[in-house]
Amino acid sequence: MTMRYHINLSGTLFVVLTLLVGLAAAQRPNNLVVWGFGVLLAMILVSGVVSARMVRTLRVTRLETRSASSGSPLMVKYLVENLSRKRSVFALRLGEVLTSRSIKERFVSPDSKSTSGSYGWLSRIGPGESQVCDSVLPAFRRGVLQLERVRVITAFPFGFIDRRIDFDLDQEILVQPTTHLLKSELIHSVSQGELGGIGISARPGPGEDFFSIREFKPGDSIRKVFWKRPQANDDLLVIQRSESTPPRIRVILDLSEQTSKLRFDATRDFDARQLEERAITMAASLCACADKEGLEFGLTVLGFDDRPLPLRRGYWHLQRLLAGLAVLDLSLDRVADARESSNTSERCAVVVVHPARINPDHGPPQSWHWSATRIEEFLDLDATDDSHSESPGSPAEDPGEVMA
Amino acid sequence: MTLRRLFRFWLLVLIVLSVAAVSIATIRLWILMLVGPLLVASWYVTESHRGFQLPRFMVNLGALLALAFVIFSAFSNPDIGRAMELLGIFVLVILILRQFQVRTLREDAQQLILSSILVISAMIQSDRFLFGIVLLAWVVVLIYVIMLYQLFAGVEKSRNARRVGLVSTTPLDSRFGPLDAEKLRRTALASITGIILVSIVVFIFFPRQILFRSGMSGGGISGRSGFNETVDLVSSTRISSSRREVFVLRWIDPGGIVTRWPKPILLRGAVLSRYDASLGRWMNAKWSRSSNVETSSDFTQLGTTPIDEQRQTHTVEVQMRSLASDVIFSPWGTLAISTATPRLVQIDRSTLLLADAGSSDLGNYASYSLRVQPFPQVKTLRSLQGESGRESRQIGFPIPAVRDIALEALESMDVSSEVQQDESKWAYNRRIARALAEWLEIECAYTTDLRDFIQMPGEDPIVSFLTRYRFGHCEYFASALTSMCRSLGIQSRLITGFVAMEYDEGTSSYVVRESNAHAWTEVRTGQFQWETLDPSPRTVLEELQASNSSWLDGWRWVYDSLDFFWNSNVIGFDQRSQQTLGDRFVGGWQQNLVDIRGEIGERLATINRFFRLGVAGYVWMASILFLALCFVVVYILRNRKRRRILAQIGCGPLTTSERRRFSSDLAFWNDALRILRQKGFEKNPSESPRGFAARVSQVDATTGVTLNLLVDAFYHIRFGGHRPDSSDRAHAMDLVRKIRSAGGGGGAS
Repeated sequence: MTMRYHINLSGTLFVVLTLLVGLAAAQRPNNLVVWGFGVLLAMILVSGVVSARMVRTLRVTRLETRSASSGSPLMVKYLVENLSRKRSVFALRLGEVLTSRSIKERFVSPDSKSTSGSYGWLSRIGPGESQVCDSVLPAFRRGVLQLERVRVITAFPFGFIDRRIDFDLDQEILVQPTTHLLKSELIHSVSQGELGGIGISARPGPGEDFFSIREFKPGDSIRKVFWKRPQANDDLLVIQRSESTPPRIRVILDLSEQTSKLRFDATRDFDARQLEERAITMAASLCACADKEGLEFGLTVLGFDDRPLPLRRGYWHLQRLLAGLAVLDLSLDRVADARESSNTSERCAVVVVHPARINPDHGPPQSWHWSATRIEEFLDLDATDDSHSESPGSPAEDPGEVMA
Repeated sequence: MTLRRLFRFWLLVLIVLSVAAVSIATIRLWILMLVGPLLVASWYVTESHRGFQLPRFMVNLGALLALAFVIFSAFSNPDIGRAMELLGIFVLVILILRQFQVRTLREDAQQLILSSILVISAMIQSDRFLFGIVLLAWVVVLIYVIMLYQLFAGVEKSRNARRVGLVSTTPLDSRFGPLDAEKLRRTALASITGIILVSIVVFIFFPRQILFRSGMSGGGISGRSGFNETVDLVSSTRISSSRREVFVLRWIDPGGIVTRWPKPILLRGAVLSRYDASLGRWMNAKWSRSSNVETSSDFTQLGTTPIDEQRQTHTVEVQMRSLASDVIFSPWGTLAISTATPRLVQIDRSTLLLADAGSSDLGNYASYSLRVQPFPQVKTLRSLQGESGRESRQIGFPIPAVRDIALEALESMDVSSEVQQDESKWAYNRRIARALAEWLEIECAYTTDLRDFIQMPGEDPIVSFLTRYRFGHCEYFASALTSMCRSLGIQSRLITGFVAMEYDEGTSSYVVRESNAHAWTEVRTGQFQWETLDPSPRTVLEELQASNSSWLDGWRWVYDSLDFFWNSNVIGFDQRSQQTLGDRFVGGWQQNLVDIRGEIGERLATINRFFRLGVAGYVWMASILFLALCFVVVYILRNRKRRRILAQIGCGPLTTSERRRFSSDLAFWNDALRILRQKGFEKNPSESPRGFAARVSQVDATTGVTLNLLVDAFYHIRFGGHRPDSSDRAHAMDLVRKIRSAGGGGGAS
């Protein structure tokens, strides 16, 4: 915990004014001007003392922040306690002190206005009280965002001196890739393809297809009784139906090519690394849309040693998948044999997302091949405008690549 | 009231106070009467539910028009005094316009700065007591408003930061309730107290010069009393019409009877013997032959020979009302002086001016008495002036045209300008000067309205007065007479001071007001004699005095006595006062303690004498003091206990009646917690009473059971609205005693 003070612009002007009034008081025998000088001097003194005493009794805890999505507001909550038994504290601003690494790796926007995000504000905390406030940190890149320090600033009572106190609070926050809404007909056509569609699982359930016959148990519906073939001892049998499974989709993210070896139209205003990021965004968006549509989905990342995520559905599965995408380190060397990893014997629709040019060899036959350069064509723009932000560095238009 | 409205309301109060300060400083009540209602109206117009605000372009247009007016006025009549006035008008217009417009944080901050500019400019112009009061109020409100601004600006900026971000976020939670406002007020009060105390310390220790040293510094009290130590005929068109009482004067005849002197009494403050024709200004010379006299409550002679009591010697008693100065205003030829407390009085032998040179007391003198002879003998004057009185200087006047005018005036009065046969020099001086004074009284009109008196370039203002306009106030009359006398080789000098002419029959005293500041002429009529000649028409002066009177005059003394204290101890606080204060606190603190003790004893004796109780009175007073002391101690203890109980029960914002009720009804809970603390059971602040009882039960079951019963009672009273009667209280106290008598303890906190 370190405490510092900083005289801001209004403070500097006030000090200059005080010196001028002091000069006038020394030159001119006017006691009211002398008293005015005393008041100005006392205001500076009281400002320093009051602000120092206020922040000294503060304790700040950063509340747990699970994860965030790049391009979406990362809301960080703080618990601020006033340990003083008598004094209230006023006008507190709270915010994160971003490390140079975070800024360098573009976790935050290069725009100075939004670099620091919006800070938390507390008008007053009474003696012995604690309050929760939040600050918003715009994260613009997926990955692990390292938070190290929380800064509390108060310019109270007169705004001349910014009294700062830093609390060293280490925390890592996973910033997931951005997800966009895709066009609903797109996901529908993919899932209803030859290998997609509704299937039958190996588990009993409320489906239509026959699964097995078993003995009657109290509570079974009379409609399920298998009247045609009673057991030898006249015990009743009931028919069990199989559980129908939703359409399934496997997303294969093709990152098998080294970033430097990617082939794409160099005249566009984005580079190879940005293309890979767009591919990750596309894969994440596809999974998010699949989850929204109630599909089972899985993810295979080519070029890395990570095991493919099985076909599942649900919120936590999506979170696990997005976390996996969040921590992908594109600077690592890629695994050479991508063909084997992409071969899957699952019965599901397969979408292979390529960063640049499509390589039909990556992925099983009859799979869909999407290129990240054409991401704008897949977006549901109406929904995107309303609820999602644009991905940074998106080109205005893109000629696109071949889609199988 | 929301934070925004609270801030805006107090900002409005601040602006009204700054306008009041300007109004008082410039002595123009119409500013407050005109601007004040406009400002108040702005609150109802702009801050009401269906508020109406002026569009920004209209405000900008108004500001431009005001600026154009100011620039035009400044160029049409270039004058530094006028420039300050125009600046003030411009600031006022901007303030009013901004009050009616849609304001952002920036405009609010600008309003604060504009208000400060107004007050600082007023501070340079005025040091009146009323202004001081308004200034103090303004400072107090300013500190509070700045604090409110910090909160208001912080909320607004935080809110805006959330709006301008690239991502949409949750709105800012910026609650500011009545409790917050109350706590802010308390913090502001503490800060204001600290600031005022520190500013007083700075005020006391700030290095200063000696103020108001007559004949040395050239003034310092000008503009505060109407009295001037210089007379500026070119730029100064101001003459005070203020009814503020400067001092009161009683004239006591040789028989000891307070009476009214048949003529107005002229009290000298400064002698101006040098005229600078290039500036059109009369100036005083440095005191060349001064000596100091220590005074006391008895009369101290100023001359070397004893006062001839066979001649009629009158006494003048002066009681200062508002003016705190070291100038001792006195009639010509004062023989002796006495002051209530010992002081050092300086006398200039060549002009017979008196000045206060200080004393061991803080502040200026408050009263003095003078012995005067209306017609002093030559030997008396010689003893006062010494050999310096013999000095004779041949003084001419640097404007030749004045001599021609003087000769024409004498001719029109059929008075010869030549020395008559057997006429002495002094008789000639007297004859000519009286004739010129009479001519002025006849030919020139007295007025304080000098709007039509336009200074002509290259023409001396005295010549303008004598030839072109022939109207003006006392300074022009006295300047004209003095200059005409000098142009004819008659030694003369211009005197400024006060004229006492308003006699109050009820108090048998003259009341001297600021508007009684006056200028006249002294003409040398002997080796040691100077004749006082006032060319201003006395009848007109009296008429003006009568026309200015109002019903408020009878009550001015209340304010003026405060004003005197203010001027004497605050405005007049100088290096000398600093030394006196330092001596008191550093050098003679033991003596001061003894003095204070003596003073207290004396006051007690006075009270005892008043009640006529003899020795028993002291016993009574000691008993009363003891009881008062006991009352204070009990009050402090009760208050502390009450605060502790309220802290223990975890009261949030409660009404006063609830606080009183809980502090009384839940006293048993505080006792129980105290006893348990002694036994080693400390209740955590975040722990509920029931949880605490459960924890105690785990360690000491018996105490736990008793405590649970007390917790029941606690909850009934605290949250159930139950009012315990005497049996409930007795039962609770029984339980507390039971906890005390129970063994065990040592529980972990």
